[in-house]
Amino acid sequence: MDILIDDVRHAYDRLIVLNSLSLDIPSGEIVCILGPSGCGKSTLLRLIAGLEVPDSGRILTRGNPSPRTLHPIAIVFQDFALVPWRSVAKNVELPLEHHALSAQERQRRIWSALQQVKLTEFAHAYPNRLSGGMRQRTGLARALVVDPAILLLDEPFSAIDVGTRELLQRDFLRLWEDARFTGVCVTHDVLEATQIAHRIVILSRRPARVRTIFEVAVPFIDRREDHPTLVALQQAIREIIREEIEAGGRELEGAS
Amino acid sequence: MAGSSKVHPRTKTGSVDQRETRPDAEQVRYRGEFNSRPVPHLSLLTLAVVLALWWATTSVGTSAIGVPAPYEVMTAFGALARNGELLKHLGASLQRLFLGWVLGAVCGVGVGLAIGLSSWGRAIALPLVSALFPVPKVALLPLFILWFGIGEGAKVATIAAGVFSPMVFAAYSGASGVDRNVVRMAQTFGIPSSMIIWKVILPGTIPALLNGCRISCSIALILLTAAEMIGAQHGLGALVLASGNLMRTDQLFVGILILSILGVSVSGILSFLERILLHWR
Repeated sequence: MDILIDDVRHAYDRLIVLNSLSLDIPSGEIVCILGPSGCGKSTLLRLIAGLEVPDSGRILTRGNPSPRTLHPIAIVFQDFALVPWRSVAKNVELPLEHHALSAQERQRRIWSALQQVKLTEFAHAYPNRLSGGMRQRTGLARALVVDPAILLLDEPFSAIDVGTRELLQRDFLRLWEDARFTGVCVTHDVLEATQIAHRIVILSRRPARVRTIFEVAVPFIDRREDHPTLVALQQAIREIIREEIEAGGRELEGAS
Repeated sequence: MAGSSKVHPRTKTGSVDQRETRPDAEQVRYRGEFNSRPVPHLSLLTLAVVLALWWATTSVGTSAIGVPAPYEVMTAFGALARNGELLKHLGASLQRLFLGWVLGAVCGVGVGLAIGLSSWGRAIALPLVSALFPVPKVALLPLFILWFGIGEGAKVATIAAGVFSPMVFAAYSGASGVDRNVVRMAQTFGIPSSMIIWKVILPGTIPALLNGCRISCSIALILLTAAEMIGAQHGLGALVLASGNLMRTDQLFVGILILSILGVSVSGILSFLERILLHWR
């Protein structure tokens, strides 16, 4: 499914967070959204999830999900958002419980999702016994168990230590290769964006519009950290974000 | 080996470090005085010492009116237990406690969840509950006596009123304290609201509810005693008051002892429930 964001404006009370934001997210691509902190990245994600309604403008999804899809949209959070009194398998089962599935099909989906994220051994462990990386694998399994057409990720790997983060990013790409969902990933990690995105969208300072879009033309298999194209891209992205932050700072000074 | 214990253990491996023998080398001082560590048997010992002191002071020959000797309390306990009075008092108290607590808790949790889950509920009920909260519930007892008569109704209603507010706030804070992102996650997956309440929010309020139970049970015990001191034939409060009027401190102590045991038992039951319900912690 692709996502069409058309001239969206959204405010919290008098604070305008998004203003005339338009963006096309093509089907089956991973798009990373970057921008100065507090610019409205997570708000955009919540709007796509349908958790809030934009003040004006439209957000459309187009295309038909595959017949395996139980629910078109799934989400992964930075703080994992696991249910602490449910085991790993029970957490993964949660989004299945309101669907009319046979017990067999339910178990098949749970185990297949756990296998995909390599957590079958920990199926019966409780979240507080797991490392950050394992908790986020649980979060990913819970998202993938419904075979979503769109996967939203809100800083999915920020709370995970560096070594584990790289492993998870690689595993995430493997999961995408299998499922080919449309991924929308909010992040502040420029390196991460150049590793996992087909396309990088940079938002301006608040009120956020689309400032720049980069296509990352390097195939995933070639994305070493020191790849010259990626390094140049990272520099360009950092430069733009710095500009936005500085411009925001000047506006504040001018106002006071 | 007492002498060698002063020597740094590393001398055994023959690798004395020059840095240790420098004149300005100094052992880091222990500053962790508040670290928690187990002190075995001290609690039991304290209890024994208190009992012994009690016994000692009463055996010197002070008047029995102030403080009865431990064996006098035991004798009074035996007598009350044998003639069935104790069971009558305890039974009456437990019944009031149970009815009042259940009534107050059910209403309180209901209102608290309504406040925590719905903006309407919050707008309607929160000001009322906040106004009721600071009123000492004993002050309502005379009112309840006028409404329900001096019998069981007034006592049960007073306990229920005291239990109500803490349970409202426990349920309210528990429900609104459930991780926002877990709720958002469930909503994103299209899980119906009723199921989110049943499977995510309600189980998430259990820790707060158990805390609320602790508070409301101790309030219930206070109100029970107070209510039973006004116009009750039986009950632990009535026993304590009547014993005081008759200067029967031995019986009075029995009443206090039973109230203490009651409180400790309730607390034990709640700890047990916590272990079972919150095993995932």
